[in-house]
Amino acid sequence: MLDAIWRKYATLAGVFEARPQFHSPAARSRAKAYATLKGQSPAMGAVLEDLVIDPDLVAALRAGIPGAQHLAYELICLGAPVDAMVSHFSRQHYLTLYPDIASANMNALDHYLRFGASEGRKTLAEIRRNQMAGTQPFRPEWPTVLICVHEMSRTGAPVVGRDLMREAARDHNVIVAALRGGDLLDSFLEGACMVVISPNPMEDFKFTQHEAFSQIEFAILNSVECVPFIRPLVAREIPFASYIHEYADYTFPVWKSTFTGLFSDIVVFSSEHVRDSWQGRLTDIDFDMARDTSIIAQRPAMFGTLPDQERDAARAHLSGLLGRDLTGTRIICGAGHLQWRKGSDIFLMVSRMARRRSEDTVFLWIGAGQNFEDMGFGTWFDYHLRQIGANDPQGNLFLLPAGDEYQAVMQASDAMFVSSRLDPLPNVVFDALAQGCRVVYFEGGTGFSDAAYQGTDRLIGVDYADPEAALLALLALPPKTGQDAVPAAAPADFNVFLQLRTALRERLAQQDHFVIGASTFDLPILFGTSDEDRPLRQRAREKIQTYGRRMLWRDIAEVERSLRQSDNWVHRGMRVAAHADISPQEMQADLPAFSLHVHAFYTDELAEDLRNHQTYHLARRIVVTTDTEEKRSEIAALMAAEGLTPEIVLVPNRGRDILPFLDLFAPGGVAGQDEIWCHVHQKKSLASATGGDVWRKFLLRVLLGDATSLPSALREIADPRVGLVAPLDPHYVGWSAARKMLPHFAKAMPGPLPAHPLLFPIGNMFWVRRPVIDAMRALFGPAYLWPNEPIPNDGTEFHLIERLWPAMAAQCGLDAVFVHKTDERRV
Amino acid sequence: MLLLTPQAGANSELPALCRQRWPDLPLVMMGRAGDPHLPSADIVIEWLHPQGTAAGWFTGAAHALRFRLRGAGLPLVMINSPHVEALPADLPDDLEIRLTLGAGDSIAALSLGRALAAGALLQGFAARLRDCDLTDPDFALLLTEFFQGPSEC
Repeated sequence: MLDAIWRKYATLAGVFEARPQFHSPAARSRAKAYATLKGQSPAMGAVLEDLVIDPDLVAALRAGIPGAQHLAYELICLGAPVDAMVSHFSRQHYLTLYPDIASANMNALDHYLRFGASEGRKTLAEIRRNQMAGTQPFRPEWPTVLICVHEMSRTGAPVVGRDLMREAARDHNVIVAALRGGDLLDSFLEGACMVVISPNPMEDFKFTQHEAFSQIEFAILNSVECVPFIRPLVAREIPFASYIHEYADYTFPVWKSTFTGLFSDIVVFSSEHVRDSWQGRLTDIDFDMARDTSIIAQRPAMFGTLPDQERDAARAHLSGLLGRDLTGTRIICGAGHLQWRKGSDIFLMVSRMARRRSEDTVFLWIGAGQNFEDMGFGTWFDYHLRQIGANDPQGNLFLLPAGDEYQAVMQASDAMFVSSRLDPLPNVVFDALAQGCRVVYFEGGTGFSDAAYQGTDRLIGVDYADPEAALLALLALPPKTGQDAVPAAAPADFNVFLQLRTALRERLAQQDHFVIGASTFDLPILFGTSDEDRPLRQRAREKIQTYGRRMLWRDIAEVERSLRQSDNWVHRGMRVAAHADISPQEMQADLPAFSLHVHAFYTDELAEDLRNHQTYHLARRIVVTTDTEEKRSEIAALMAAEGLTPEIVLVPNRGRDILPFLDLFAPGGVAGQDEIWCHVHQKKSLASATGGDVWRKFLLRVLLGDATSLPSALREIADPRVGLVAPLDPHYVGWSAARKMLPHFAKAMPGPLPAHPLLFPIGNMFWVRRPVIDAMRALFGPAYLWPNEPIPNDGTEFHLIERLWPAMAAQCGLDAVFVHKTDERRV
Repeated sequence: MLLLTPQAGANSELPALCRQRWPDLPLVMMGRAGDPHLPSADIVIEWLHPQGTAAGWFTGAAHALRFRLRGAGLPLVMINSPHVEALPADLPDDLEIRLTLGAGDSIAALSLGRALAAGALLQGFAARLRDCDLTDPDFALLLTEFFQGPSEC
């Protein structure tokens, strides 16, 4: 029996010929290793037995067949894929999870058997516990779809995911994957043939055993929060549609929306209004909105009526609960988690205003989240509630916890007030409409402004964030009766899953341009920097480039082509040039007089920079800005040690690195009349970014050369036709959050700003001529109200300035030159 | 049909010929990035690898197209280069492969010849690579229509 088991797996591993028996003479040294291990750790046998899952081997172990434990050990030692097939142990998984063991160069299995198990280290057992067989059988003749939800709570997007699964399960094998579990788990198990809960799908998906998993034809990512699923899907080349309900305005970090746009075969939004909010972020990656997006409402508006008797019964029930007779009142409900986004505070204010206008109007809010210890919202909301007498039987405002009374609230209410500041298509609105309620919402605050929901008297939009308008609209509504006319219903065969599948398939079938191969810039986007990940990095770029999207430049030729093809006035003044190292002797005749500005808020790396770059020693002047006397002394000493005499200016910590630079050029400022400047800085915002130290070295290498040679950038800026010289970064970075400021500043420009900047001095280090600096200062004016620290990581004036340098150069009639050095490490 | 065009120089007239001879087949063209003739195809596959074998080209193309064609397959593959080093042995049986040769493609230069001589891998499809010995009248016609004169082949 043991030999048969060995034959099966040894054949699979390709070692059977060399080792026909696991205890053959050829394996004597292995047998010795096993015996030694057993001697060192007598308890390892039990640990080993707990790992085994192969049914035959489990039976042999249970029967106490001599040699069974040894066989189990040898089989697991065969490594992938056998280890994970016969047991819950995977060498690869264990070493990935515990890099300390990998770096100690220890045998993973031996470590686990001797130490790991008792230390509580994890094996595949935990992953597999979260891979559950669903109620539905796997039917090989059906297509298989993976539906991803971020969690299984009974909230908006997961509920949509459950409904998608139910629709899909009619004629598909459905695998449901979630990052977290929740109340809806049982519902998902009921409709799926497999359910996986994993916070780390890239790693955990490798160890799924269900046959359906190898048959996935396509996937649906239901919510932008499902972005962790993108890595395994791209790695396995499974096409997918992302179904997005979230506004970009509250989707952070931004990379979630960026990755969704880069890698989804199609992005489907639940409303036009949500899609509009993504426009800027998707434009930044050259995403084709018209071609690669679609709108599919998560639910149609199903208008209903409720017999008066049921309405009155619900009111009587709630009257008993609240101690307030609701007979003959006008009931306005609100629903959802108590938070700023839902405008729960606005709901309270409207109820307060209503007291003076209508004594018989009662406001009911049903939802969770009331927590007076939550300083972000709950503390202030709780105080607000107490001040206005909420839940007083004599009052007009009541709060109910989420739960069983939800149905009664919907039935009893005449109308719903959606006080949300930004809320895509709340499910509660559909429920209220189905119960015959009218709904008042803020225009621009939800997806109900879409044409798909217009044309009835059941949905009434009022001016955004105007509580007075909302109250007037609510008080103008007729009471709900069972005789209300019902607007036309949506088609009965409304099937969101089918629409998503069709949209995805049609998009795939339309594709008529593909890109295969490794492009010049092999930098990580979705996968890591290791050699092992190289094929995956290529795969990710192939998908991006096939769809014409962009996160990295493909090669220098693509940069040049993009500049050539643009007719924007800013781009027309840009060009690229290759970096070259020039000896000081060679440069001597052409060396322009130049000054260097270093903003040294941090001083850690200054000494190293001075040593590494000859250019410092050739500057006519070095001006250093910093913020304390202590740093001034330290900088003076560091520079003196290198034979340099800087001018050190103390400045307030405001405006990151760039405002201290610009302020040098104020009338009477330190800059004087110097024409050519190099601006570099020591800010941690650069060094603390992922790979920031490498990035900083990259920038300085291109701008300042090295310890013995000068950079060709210096020769470029010496050309009087050139106003700006900066390193060409392989990353393709858009206006990002600074986009919202463009309309204001574009008015002062000689032409419209481009939809994408294409190139700018990413990292804000550059060579520049004086007129360009003056133009930038003029753009903001002498009295500009700059924001104070702390500032956000994006979207401030300082981030805009970084992107506007080429425009300022072009405005001065000067070129902006971007110097590429493709052999210099960037990440 | 899939037209693999590893070298940009010889592609100027081949797409038009393909359309003329196989008007009902969508023209899929796979070539090096920047090849100015690529946009004339119905479906374009840009190849960024600096080098590659015909096997790499073919499997790369088939891979790229798997969702686009959804199982419809490629009835005909035309390889516009003699620099064929290998082709996958497991090509579908119903796939017809044609190899076009240009003026100046001498036998000595044919990597194909080297590959054929090299071995077993090619035997699986050699019978279907019917144009390489110039006995196919279609191929002879193709040559006379498109190249300056008879090649050394």
